[in-house]
Amino acid sequence: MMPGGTPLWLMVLLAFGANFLLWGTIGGLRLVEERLVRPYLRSRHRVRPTSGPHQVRLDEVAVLIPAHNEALVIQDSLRAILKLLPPHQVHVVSDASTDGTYRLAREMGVRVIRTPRNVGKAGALVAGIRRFRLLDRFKAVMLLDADTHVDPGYFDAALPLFDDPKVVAVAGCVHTQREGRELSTMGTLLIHHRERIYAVAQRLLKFGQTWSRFNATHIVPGFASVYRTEVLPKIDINPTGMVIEDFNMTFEVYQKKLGKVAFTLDAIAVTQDPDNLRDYIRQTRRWSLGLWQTVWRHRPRANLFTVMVALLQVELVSSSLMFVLLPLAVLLLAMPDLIGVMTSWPVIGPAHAFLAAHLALGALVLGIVLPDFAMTVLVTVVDRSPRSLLCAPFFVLLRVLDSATALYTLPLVWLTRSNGRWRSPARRASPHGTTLGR
Amino acid sequence: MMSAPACADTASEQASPATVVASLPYWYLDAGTDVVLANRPAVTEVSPWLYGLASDGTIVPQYPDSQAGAVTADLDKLRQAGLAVVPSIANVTNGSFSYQPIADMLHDADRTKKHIADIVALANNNGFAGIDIDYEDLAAGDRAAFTSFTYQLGQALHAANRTLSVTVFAKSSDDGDDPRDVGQDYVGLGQSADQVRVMGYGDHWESSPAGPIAPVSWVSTALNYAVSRIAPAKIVLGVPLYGMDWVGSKGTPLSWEQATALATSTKATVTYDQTSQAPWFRYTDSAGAAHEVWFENATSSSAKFAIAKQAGVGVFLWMYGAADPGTWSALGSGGA
Repeated sequence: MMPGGTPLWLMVLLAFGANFLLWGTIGGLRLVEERLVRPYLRSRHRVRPTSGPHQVRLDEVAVLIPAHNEALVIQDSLRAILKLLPPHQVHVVSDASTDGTYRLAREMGVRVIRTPRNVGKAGALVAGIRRFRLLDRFKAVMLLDADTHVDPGYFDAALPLFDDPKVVAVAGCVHTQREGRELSTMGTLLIHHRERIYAVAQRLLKFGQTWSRFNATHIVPGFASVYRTEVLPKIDINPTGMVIEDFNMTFEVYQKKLGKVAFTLDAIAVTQDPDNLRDYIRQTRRWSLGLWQTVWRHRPRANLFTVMVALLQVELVSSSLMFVLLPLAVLLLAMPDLIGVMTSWPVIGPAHAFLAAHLALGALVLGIVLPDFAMTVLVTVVDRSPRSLLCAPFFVLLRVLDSATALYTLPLVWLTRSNGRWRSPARRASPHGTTLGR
Repeated sequence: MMSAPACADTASEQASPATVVASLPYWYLDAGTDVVLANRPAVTEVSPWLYGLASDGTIVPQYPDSQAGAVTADLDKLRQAGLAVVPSIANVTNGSFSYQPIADMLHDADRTKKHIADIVALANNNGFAGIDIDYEDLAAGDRAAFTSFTYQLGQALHAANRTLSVTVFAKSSDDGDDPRDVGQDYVGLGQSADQVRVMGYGDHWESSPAGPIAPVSWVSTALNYAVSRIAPAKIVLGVPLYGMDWVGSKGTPLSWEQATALATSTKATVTYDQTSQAPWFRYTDSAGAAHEVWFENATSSSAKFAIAKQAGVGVFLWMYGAADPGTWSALGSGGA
């Protein structure tokens, strides 16, 4: 027990996350099975092949790229994907672009269509699937964002996962593009923060969530994931009013019992994350609202998926509250050290006294700031990116911002109706020869 | 290829193995059915490798639900062609061989009884001519229980007018070179079953270094041992219709069709190794990794058919994927 009354373990749990602990542990079990048990079983003298060729081959995969005013990045992204697939397998839907996206895509030799009016990302996906007849022509469709570069090893890692007939979608592993970008200090900070979120969430949440034994993940990210075409007609890709499509598609998979989602850290695609505060807030707000809207749209059912989502939401709200209140608590607690006289002020004085009786400044540091820092160190080591260590002191502030956004968007679920319009963050052209991957 | 069956009929009388079983794994059942029907006179029996076991030991299909309709249609086609259909049940759970369901069943008299009843019901309900049991990875201590199980199962199937086949590992002594070989008592199984299918392949495998999958001397040794323990009329020698593409000690299975296409696309020279009687080649992939591929073609399979014929045993073909069309004419002519 810490001085001040709040148990330290509770604060660590809140800051680090019950979900990370739970799914991180399950992920650990998956790692043991995949790295130790399965190789052992495989190393046994298997006298003959007892499974057939892979169920989905590379020539049976379509790539579908919805694009709205992506002239700056579209050719680069197409170049990356065309290293892996021939042009007749790559499809672009230019959704009411006014900047040459359509022409630039056509120049690359891929299949391109235009929508007659702005229908939004989900609308563009629906149009593309229908007009390119992807359901008849391919066994699987990769939904790919126009700013995303697919890593050369993506399909080798992703397609074998479809050998499990229950797997209907493979979620791509997201990395953020760092190389080849000129970043401001704020930009660097935001990118490293995002990278840290990706690194932690994919290893400690998603890896465990997508173990075939306890399969339930809340997101098959729309930036670079592959769906079996036979499930696409069963998914309501474009329900009215949703600001984002991928959470909803994932929920549809689980709540309609369409199958499992597979994920491997090796099916990598690199995306451009916002490098300025305005775009960053806008994007987090949209993701956050999209998640809340999706949760609201899908009625809970008696299944593991619903339990997983409920746990996640409870923690999202509780930890967001904690992070939003964190600055206030620090101020109130530190007050007497700064301006002694304030303790005698009305309201503030008693508030300080009340808080000090239950909470110590040291406990806040130990319980919230230290676990957060530990997470940064972990990511630094695992990803070998020492620079994120420099940003460490500021990550807590960004978490406060993320938390505020999450709480702010919650009531918007009942106040906002989306018209499906695009709001992509400002893109930057990346120089040729940009190295992909880690 | 189409002319092969015609000459097969006349040649088969003295030359080809008396029993020719087409083992069709579920992933190749659809295409393989057409191949079998096109070479109908060369084949006496079809064993679709269809069933596995759930972790509680119940018999479940290995193929995905979406394939169920196609499986029924293929089996109907084979039956209509007058072929005996004898599907295999393997102790495969969720795609991998698993020991526990079998161990639980073998050492519990009630479960053994129930499993036998399930198998007989499966055969009766689907009109199968018999059942092939492919239980691998037994422990040495399961030997007596497994023999006793097959004896009871044989009795039950015979009472229902169905046959029993048991698939076993190739070995050259009673103990073999692994506890699982001890678990399979050739003499006992030979008394219980109508057919004992000896898997004459796997001298090199997915996690071994590169090399021939079924070198003739290795196959001969295994077959000689089998013949010394089991009546030759009951023995069926397994012949591999697949290859393996190794990088170091990691092999990826491939069919004859894939292997030949790969040799063409990489401009590799295929060499026929006279000692082991198998074709092979090397190539380097776009990432710079060195590959070694060993596979089977009509010539290498013929060599194995000849060994079988000489020993007076039947053959079964493990039809992994599209094989050398010449294989079928070789069968008809008895590998000469």
